[in-house]
Amino acid sequence: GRGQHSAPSGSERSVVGCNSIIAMWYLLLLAGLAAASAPAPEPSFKERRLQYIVTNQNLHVDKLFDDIKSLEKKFSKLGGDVDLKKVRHIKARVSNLEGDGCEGEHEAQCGGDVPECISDLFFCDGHKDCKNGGDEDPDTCSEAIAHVGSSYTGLASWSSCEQHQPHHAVVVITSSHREDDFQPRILVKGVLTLEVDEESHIVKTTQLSGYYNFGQRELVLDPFGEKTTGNYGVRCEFNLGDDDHADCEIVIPSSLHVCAHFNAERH
Amino acid sequence: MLRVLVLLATACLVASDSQFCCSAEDRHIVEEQWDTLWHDTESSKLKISFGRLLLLKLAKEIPDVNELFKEVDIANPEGGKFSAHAMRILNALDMAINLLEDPPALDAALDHLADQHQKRPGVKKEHFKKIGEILHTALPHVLDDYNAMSWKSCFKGILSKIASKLNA
Repeated sequence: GRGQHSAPSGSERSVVGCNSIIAMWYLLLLAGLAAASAPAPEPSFKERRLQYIVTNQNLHVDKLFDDIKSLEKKFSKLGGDVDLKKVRHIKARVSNLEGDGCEGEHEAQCGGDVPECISDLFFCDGHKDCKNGGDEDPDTCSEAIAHVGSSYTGLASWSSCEQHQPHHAVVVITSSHREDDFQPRILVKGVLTLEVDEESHIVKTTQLSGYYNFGQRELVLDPFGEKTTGNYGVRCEFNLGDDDHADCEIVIPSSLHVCAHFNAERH
Repeated sequence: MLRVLVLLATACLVASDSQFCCSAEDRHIVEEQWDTLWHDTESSKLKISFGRLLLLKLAKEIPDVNELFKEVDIANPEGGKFSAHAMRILNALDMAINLLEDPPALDAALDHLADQHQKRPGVKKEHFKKIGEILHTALPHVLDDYNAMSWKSCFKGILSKIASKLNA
């Protein structure tokens, strides 16, 4: 009885199954027709799988790229490298404090690893006097400081001589000349301008003449000529390791008494 | 020596852009020497007694002045009223000296003092001249270092600026 009973139910089930399979085939057929009607043929499963992998790998690379970017951002927030100019200035200031160890007033340091002092009259004369040749080094013998048109500006603060509030002082090189048979100096002419009062445009100018000394890296200018309104000289020491910054003093020419001081920068 | 004096006099005339002949160095000297008086905490005592002496001396030399200081009770110079006034005057002097480094500010402060003295009828230019003389005899007594040239050149300007708005 059980077997008989179970047989028809089985055939019934298979009939239902058959029906659903047929419907699926129809659907597939329809889909196939639809696909056939589209211009491009459907890529094969293998191709799509390959495409899938390629896409995934690209996404992976993109993610790595983003990670690197955020790492780089983090790294850049750790601060940058030190400005080379700053390093040069600090080194120069330290060596200024150390002193050059040269005894004579007119001696200067050869530089380099082994200290050696020679007269500043031997610098940049075309003949090597330092054992390391430091006195003919192209940096040491740069004429840029005394180039015509160079101007050095700074805020002058007076400690004596004049009752001025701090104001701008400008030294402009107007002519420079180097004798062929006396190379260790450049003869220089210039103008010192004191912008005493910006509001009322009171400007005092002094005609200057003097020289640039390679060994001491010093620009020494005295007043000259009759049409001067002031009678101050200027001494600038280019002691910050480049040709663009100097430590300048406005002095009384005869006694070299310091009246004012300014940190000059090339403009 | 005469040549040096002539040179100094012409230097003062040439320096016309500063309001009076009192150079940067003069100002430094005056400030430094004035500073030596005020190292103690009881500086007000010193100021009061110095100011009192100054005013009483002026009143002695020019008796008319007594009338002008009646309001601050000059009849009773040890009293609080006159002591406070002596302090005021010495403080004004102190301010003027400490402003020597800043000419525009000094100018404004002295101008203000000139206004205040203009309001007092009876105050005359000769009184200030006398005060200058008294100061220059008194200061060397209290200052170990006293550069008369510097003090005179600076105080001439200060006092004449304060007296500049007076009629007589």
